[in-house]
Amino acid sequence: MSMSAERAAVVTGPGPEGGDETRVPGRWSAVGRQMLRTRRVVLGIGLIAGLAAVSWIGPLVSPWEFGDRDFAAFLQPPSPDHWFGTDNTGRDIFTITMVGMQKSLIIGLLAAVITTVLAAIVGSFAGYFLGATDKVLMWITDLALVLPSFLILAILYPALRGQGWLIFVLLLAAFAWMVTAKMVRGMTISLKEREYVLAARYMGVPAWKIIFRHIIPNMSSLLIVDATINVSSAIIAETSLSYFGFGVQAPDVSLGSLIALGARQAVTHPWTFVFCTGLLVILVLAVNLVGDGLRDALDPQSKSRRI
Amino acid sequence: MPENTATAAADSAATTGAGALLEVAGVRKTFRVAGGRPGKSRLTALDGVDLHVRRGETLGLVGESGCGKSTLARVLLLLERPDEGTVRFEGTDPFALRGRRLLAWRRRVQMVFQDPFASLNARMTAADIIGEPWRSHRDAAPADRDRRVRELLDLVGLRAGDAHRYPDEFSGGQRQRIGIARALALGPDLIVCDEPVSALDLSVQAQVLNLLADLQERLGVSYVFISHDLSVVRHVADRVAVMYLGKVIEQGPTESVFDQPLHPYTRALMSAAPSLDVTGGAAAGRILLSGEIPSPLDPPSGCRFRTRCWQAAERCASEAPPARPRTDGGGAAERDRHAALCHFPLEAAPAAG
Repeated sequence: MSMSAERAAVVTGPGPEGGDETRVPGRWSAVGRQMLRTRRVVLGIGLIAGLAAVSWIGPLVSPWEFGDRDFAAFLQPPSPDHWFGTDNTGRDIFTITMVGMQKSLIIGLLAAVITTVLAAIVGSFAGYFLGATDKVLMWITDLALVLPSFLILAILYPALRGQGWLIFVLLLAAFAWMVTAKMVRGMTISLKEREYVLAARYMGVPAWKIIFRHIIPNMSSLLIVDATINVSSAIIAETSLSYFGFGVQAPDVSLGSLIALGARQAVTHPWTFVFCTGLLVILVLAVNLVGDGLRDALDPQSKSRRI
Repeated sequence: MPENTATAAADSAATTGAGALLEVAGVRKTFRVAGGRPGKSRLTALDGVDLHVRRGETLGLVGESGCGKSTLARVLLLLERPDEGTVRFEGTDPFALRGRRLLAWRRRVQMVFQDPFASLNARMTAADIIGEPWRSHRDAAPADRDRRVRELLDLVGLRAGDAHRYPDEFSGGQRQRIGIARALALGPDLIVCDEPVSALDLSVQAQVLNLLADLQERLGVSYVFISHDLSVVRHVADRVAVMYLGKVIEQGPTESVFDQPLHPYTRALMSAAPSLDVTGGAAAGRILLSGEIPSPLDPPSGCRFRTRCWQAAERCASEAPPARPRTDGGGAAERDRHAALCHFPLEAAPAAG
């Protein structure tokens, strides 16, 4: 810290100052540098960006459209014509895998963002107000926690399947926010005792503004890390539901529904199974690398922190 | 009743000496304690506190930790409602106000916190922190907020260029200056300073204390200055109130209290403070109290201090001592007279040192 010297002893005039801006790097730029110094994060971000780019650009460069079927090639192994081979109805596996990955990425990111926002709001309101608000909100949280979410999703989604995949994202988020909410509640209880919260309360700042202005921003690092981790769990939840046929429905595809199709012939025609599974593994791994790296960059107490 | 006195500091001279700005009478505050034994489940934090603060005056509030200083501060800031007793601010009971009138009243008492690292939100710039009060008190907000922020920064000895820095980029003393600027943003009449310098380096303490004194001179603001550091209180306070177990046991002009403490507790407290007096006399006059502060769940009968007092008699257990003024008045006016709650005040101090 170059600013530690008490400079107030020399009171400068009220004139315009600007020449002496010896800026100490702000917190986020420091975190950014720390992150980029961690190889895992760079690798993870690179992988995610690469996968996203490939999944959107891939179908454009591929000679085959998403709905196309090559009636001259059923279950053909990878070739210059079909880069990932074809399935038993002649679809180009490269094209459908890329489209499926798009959907998995979008669903994962959206569900994670909704989950984190929901968790932050429920947790901080419960922790800030305590009392009856806390009891009600935590009762709902506990209820959602003990319900068999997979079964409920499996039963509920097919009933709503006409509504499209966005409702699926909401359902995924609705069963993923509880643990984060409990964590946020605990953090809020400790943050609300800080003097700046007391100062704001005394200024007459309404409670909801204190929560959004003082409490949630001071948990941002936790929330960002948690959102990242939620991305991978949302992707996994989406693929597992889709694998069992309860998630993304035809004609939409996702990595999960593709894995389900390929799994039947994984031994005899491995290309129908290997590519989508491999991409899923790489995607989840990359997201987790970023999450771990972020946690290390943001949490000075993290054990696996390395410079 | 004056409602919007954000600029009342200007006409402070007119009211000085007339009535007290803040008057606290017989304030009692108890808290329910979870899991307490039957009949012992209420903690008495404040037990009949009487105080007053004049315009432009500094009242030093001294006491050990747990004596109720912070609860009193919270009552003054309207964060706690007293169970009994009255708080009057220029004759108005702020606890009777509601809605907009309450919000308007809140402007007049502000607070400077102890820990400059915990009292500023690390996610906000200095300008945002100083300007935050205006976001709730819209009618007190200046037309040109940026200019007012720069003025306030200048007033507390920071530079206008500091407005867009984050708290991380300042030292402890500079952070405390930001806290003071935030307290000044609404133009208060009274600032409650809760140990404002105890978290700072000694060299920085003096600068912040001088800043507070300078601001008082310029703006006519009053302070309630809470501290456990007697030398600091002696330096800044016009009058001192000593608290013990929820009661103000001694109160009076600073000089009188420090030169001739009436209450045995005050005397012991002062003898415990380290002194730079190298003549050797101070050590001889040191009074060591035995035992701990009694639990506020079960305070002693009669005089609160009798369990640790070396001159306690039977009367101290049976009868709560009334306020006894110093016989010669301590050279102060009637209201500000130096007085202590003791049956046997130390009228003529033993020739210590």
